[in-house]
Amino acid sequence: MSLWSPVTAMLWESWRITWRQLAFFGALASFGGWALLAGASDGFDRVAFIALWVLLSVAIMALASICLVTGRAKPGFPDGLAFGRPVRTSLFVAIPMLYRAAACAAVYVIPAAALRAAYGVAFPVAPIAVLLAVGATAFLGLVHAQPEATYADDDRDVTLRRAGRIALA
Amino acid sequence: MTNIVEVQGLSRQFGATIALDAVDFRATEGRVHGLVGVNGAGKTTLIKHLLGLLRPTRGSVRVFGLDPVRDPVGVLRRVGYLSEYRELPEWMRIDELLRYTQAYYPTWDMAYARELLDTFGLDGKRKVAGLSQGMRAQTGLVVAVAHRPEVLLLDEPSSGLDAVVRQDILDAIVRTVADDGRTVIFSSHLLDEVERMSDHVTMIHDGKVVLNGSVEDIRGTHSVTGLTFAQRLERLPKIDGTLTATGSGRTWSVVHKTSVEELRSAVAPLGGELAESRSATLEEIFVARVGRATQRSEAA
Repeated sequence: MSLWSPVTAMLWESWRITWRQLAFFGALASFGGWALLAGASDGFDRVAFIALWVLLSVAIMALASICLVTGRAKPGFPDGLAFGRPVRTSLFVAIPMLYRAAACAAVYVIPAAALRAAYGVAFPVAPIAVLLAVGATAFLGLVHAQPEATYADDDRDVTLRRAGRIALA
Repeated sequence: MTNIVEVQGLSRQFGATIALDAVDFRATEGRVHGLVGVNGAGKTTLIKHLLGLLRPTRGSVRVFGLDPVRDPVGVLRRVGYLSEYRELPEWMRIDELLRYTQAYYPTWDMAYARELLDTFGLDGKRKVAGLSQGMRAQTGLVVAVAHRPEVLLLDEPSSGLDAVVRQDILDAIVRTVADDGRTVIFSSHLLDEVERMSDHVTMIHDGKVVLNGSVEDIRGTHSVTGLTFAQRLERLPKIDGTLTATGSGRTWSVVHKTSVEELRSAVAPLGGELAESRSATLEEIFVARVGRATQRSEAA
């Protein structure tokens, strides 16, 4: 394994923290959708609609899990705020946030695209992916915007809170 | 010698609390600088400013001539930092932590990192979560020095460690880095440790610098002298240049900044004579200066 830059290192770190949840919820969504669609004969459209709700429900559970559990200084924020590595504070705050937004969308997009290819169900992919990514960003924004007593007034916590407020807005 | 760190009139407030009050601090190249103070004195706050983790309320901070808040990458690339809490990612293995940290530093020296792991007897396959306090400190130190930083910042590096690990950390690393012409700034409340390791000492109390200078100068200008008086004294009258006095009756001991001769002249009118005199230890000087300040603030 070779990490070439701070950005790849931060992405790798986020991936290593979240891959189990991504795999679990991805598998849960895929299996749930597949079980419903594979067994459907009559009323396929109704089953497809239920499958869509299953995919969405699992994605929302994944969002809550990924954004709340995988944190050190704050929920959804992998690094300590007294992190002294040479990386711009804006990047330090933005990369984990963007990764989590993308990861939450991926938990829906990958199973939905696979089921769409396998069964020809026209699951909406892009709009819901965007909605999930925005939802994850807003959720992280809400969490990050709260002050953290241990790091009171640390520049990086201030930036994180500011990013949280921007994400919420 | 070049000033690597230059702090001028630095003040920092957290709400109504003044954490640093008009602090001036300089660190010169190739020297070991000890920051001394009781818990909550402001040492960590000062170090956080050097790292750009805090913005000054007033005053300026320059490291390598750069503002660490405006240019964290430019400063942090050349700085190694070990926090008191040794914040390391628990889930990483030591090998992973080294490769992860390497990505941030173009000057990372993996051979040096491996050599240090061997020296400390650390197994790269072990997870950080399973390490003892001492091993965590050693791992944190490897990560802090393997890019061969120009400045090494250690915040209470020996806090909570046994004597063996403390010895490892202080002797092997601090001295090595300093001998390479690099600069070390470390905070500690263990005075004997600071006295042994530092060339220069800054004492901080209640956010203010109460004493600043080379260890030799500080020790050279402070003495502990025994005094004997012809009559019993309930309390020692104020004598110019003395910082503290302990004792009772006819026998007293003072920590003073004046020369022995000046002290002799000052106590003669009180019927006092000097007994033995010796250079004060850093701990005695610290207690004399800070203890007095503490008593004063308690009285207020």
